[in-house]
Amino acid sequence: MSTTEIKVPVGPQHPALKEPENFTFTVEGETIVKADVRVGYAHKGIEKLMESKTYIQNIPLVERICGICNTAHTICYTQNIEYLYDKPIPRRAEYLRVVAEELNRIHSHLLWLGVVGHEVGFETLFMYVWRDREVVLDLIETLTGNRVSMAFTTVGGTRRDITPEIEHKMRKGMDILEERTKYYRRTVPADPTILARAKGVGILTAQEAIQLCAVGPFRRASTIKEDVRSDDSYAAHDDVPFNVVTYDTCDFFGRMMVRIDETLESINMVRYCLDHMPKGPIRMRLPNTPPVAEAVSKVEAPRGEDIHYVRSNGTDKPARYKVRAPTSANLAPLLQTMTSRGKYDVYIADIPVLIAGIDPCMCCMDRSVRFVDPSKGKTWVWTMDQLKKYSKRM
Amino acid sequence: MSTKPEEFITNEMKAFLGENLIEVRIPRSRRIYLTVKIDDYKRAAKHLVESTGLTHISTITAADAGKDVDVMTLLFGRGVEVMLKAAVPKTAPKIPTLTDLVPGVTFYEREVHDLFGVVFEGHPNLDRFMLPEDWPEGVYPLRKEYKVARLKGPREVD
Amino acid sequence: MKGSPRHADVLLVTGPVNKQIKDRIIRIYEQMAEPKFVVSVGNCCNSAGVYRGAYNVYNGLDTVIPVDAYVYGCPPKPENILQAVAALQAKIKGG
Repeated sequence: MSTTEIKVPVGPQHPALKEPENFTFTVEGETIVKADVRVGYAHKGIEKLMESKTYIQNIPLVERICGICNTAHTICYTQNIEYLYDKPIPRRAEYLRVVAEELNRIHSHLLWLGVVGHEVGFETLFMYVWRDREVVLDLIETLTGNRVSMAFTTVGGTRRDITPEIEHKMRKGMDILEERTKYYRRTVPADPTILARAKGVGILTAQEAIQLCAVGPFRRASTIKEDVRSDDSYAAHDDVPFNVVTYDTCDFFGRMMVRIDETLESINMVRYCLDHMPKGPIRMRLPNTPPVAEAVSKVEAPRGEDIHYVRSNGTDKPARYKVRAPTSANLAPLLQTMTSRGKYDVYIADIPVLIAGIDPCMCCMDRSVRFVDPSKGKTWVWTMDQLKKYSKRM
Repeated sequence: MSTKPEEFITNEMKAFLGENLIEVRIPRSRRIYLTVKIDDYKRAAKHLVESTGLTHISTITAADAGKDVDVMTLLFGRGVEVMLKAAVPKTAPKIPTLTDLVPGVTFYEREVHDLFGVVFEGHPNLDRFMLPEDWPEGVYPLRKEYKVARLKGPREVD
Repeated sequence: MKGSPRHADVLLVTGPVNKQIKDRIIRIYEQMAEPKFVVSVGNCCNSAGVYRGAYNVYNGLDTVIPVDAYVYGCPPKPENILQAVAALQAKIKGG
């Protein structure tokens, strides 16, 4: 294909463009003293829509709540419906779900690491990691037929199985990914560019993490040893051993290292599942209409605790379905990491990295941000691109 | 003395609330459902968070229950997820905020306010959080009575 | 007859179109100079996809602005996107 330039005009910044910015920062010079957030760019009305679809029809919808965390949401959902029936699913299906889930986690964490490289201007890291990411995408496609949205799990079990050929490819893939991740484990924490932007940046103390209900790697990088897979085991996690990774630096560096180490843990978990895969069916059929009941399901998505609530009313459609994705939980603590307090200063230049620190699952992260400087009587709006350019110059 | 955590928490709340505990259910391991009146909601939550070890609030959500809206707070601790439920009448949908107890719930309460119209008394800022700016006031999309109109684009052909 | 391909501008849109985005998209489209082309990428943009019926999502980008090419997929594979761009280039060259 010949190279032809394709321009995508996005229009000039216009004060008349009355779109609400997601973030508003009150600043004094370079220092941020207060941070506020509005969500809503991505609001679709999914929960209401779910009430008009059957439990099975809702599976592809739930899978698309988050493009990256798709497997976590789907497992959380199908599990929730299974809790309504109060029937255990085949053990093999539980192991298969763990394989899918951990592949999803490896994908998510590697994608994130590449994004971090991009955010700090370390383009080589971004390119390398996203090349390695193709390995896990290929494995996901081999297992499920799709590179991203797996469509793998269903109510009562999984839809597809692992054949010996798939298992062989998966083991080879795990070897490659382990070698690459160990390489990043060595090189990334030694890189001066990254250290300058990561060490001591975005402090969230353990006490703040608890009070503000942080979840996932964000929480674990503030010393707290909690993970849904060990605290509230689901699927085959009661059998599959792993280490809950914590760091005590309470900063962005810690969040990065937690995710790298978790990737290595996930690789071992996939291997364990392949070694110990139980024989038997992968799915049990359940009636279309669950009993009248309520259920609460939790999984550890790559971004943290994902919790769902369901209320059934004796029909084949849910009376109420609530999804609390992990990023929602991390908004309040994120704002805290962006607020100067005590001896801890946060600067405008830190913003892109801090937002990346929670691994946000919001498609609205590329919008504008608003700044207010009361002492100077100034207020201005930047696009994320402008902000990133500014941060890289600092 | 090794009591299972579900038993420990249930006994703790039975002792604390006495007859005011309307209902207790343990549907499966690591899940407890508690139902209380609005008047006991705040102190029950406080007791769970400060004295029973359930320091993490996973979320606060709601469901339409006909004349009422059920407000459900999900707390986690001791390896157990506890759902604390209180019904608020649609005619006067008010319940105390928990933001002074656990600041991290601020956005959860705002979401329930947007979607169900429940007012969390004492919340510092119940401004619109996720609905579009021009969404009509008083229309709470997740209440059953509202069949929300489908969006029609300007170029849409019928 | 269209102008030279060198001056063609293409707007690629992905994701479901909701209320918050709609006005912005219309304004961007109106600011583009002719000749201009719009590519709708992904099922959500084509038709609302899984979100069809949700109270905050339009039934597709083409209910808001005119669309010249549709890339199917949920999510679309990279090959699909490249194919659409190539097809659009051919269409532009063909006049």
